[in-house]
Amino acid sequence: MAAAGSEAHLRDAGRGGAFRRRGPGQAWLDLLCSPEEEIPERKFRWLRNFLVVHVAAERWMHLASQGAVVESLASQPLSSALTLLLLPLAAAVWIPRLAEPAARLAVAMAAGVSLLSFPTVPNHHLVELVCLGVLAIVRLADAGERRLAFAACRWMVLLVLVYSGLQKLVTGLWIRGDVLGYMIATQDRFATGLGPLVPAAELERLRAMADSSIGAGPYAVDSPLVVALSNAVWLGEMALPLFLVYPRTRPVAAAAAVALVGAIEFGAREIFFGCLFVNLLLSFFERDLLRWSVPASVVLYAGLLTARLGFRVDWWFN
Amino acid sequence: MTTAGKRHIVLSLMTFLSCWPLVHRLLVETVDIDPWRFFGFAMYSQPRVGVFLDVLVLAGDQRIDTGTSGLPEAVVQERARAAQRRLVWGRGSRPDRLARLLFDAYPQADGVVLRYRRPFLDRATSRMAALEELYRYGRTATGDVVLEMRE
Repeated sequence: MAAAGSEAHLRDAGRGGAFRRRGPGQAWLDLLCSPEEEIPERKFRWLRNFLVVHVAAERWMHLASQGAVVESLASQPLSSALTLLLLPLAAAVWIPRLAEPAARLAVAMAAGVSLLSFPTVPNHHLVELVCLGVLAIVRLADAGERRLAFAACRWMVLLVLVYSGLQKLVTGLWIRGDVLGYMIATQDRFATGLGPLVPAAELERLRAMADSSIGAGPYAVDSPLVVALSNAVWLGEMALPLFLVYPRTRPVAAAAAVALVGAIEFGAREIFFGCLFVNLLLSFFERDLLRWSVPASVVLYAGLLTARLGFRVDWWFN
Repeated sequence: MTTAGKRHIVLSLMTFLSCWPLVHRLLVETVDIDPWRFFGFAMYSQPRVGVFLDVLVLAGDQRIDTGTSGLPEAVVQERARAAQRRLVWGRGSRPDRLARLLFDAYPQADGVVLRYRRPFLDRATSRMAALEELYRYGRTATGDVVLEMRE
């Protein structure tokens, strides 16, 4: 029955009937999360709870990186207080009775922290806030609203991917690998991650330009592997969303996107954004993969946080 | 709130967010705002390098050597803030407050020249180049600080 319904839905969409009857907005939302796709409550809870833990851990990491928490409380009292309050909310969201109000409060507090740091708010704050905001306003018990929230989160993922690729294409600095060359030259983490792909002499040449003073260069890389990687990044970011839209190609595209984003963020050692985006990408799968990835992410965040607070040392990621 | 109401909110928000990066790109090109900020998803599209702010204080035709005497702490802090503002807000950010502080710190000064240098990776040469902006301030007979020239 569900398969027949799904086929009828696709045939209808193919004839443009969906657009005529439901309007382009609703048809687009249906394409991202079709009426036939079931989003179980448990899967919804995993994503929502992850995002609350994520915003709490990420803001806490930032607070701890500014020095002692007590000192931050004195210099930025409001922002620090909001950040401190996010931690109990990250615990409360796992208690079913408290989950919805905790998620809504977390959105408000995380938004407050971001507003207070405007204009130097990182772009991923917007991704977190939009996704968590949408997940927090819908009713858990309503299947249609759960689909609406998942469609919005998926839309956000597509936007980030498409525009990240487009912006790289427009600057033209990824065609010959200029940006990667610059990053290898100036940042140890990129030199460590991408160094093995670059011939020794080329790596030495790039690293000699680490000060990036005016006139330094050229940073374009003379390594076919790095140039191919550089172009694969923006091409992948722009092409994968096309395949993420269509249900038939979605699982393969989501797996490829997880691999692409995972590799990029692992190379850049941006573990928080990497975790956020991988979990959002896993929401594209019909199977509930979040039940594995979310606990793993929470454990990772706990490790990062304790390391940042000084309980553990020698953590590899920044 | 009804499901339909929530759907309207989601659609409006997401439609806006779908268009915003195009406006962002336009602002990067025209006003030189920081591509890494303001939610245009342009991180890593180009390297993010800080902005330098050079200070020249003049008394008549003579340059007051601020390098040797050392700039007052308030001026040093405002200089860092002005450079950061320029990096983030682009050409919309003027260093007027820094100029006023410099005139206060050096009462004998009758001119202040401030130069922003924003390094960037030049696509044509693949080398670091710099955008430069010059602001020249003077003081009126009543002591007001005015912007005399900008290029």
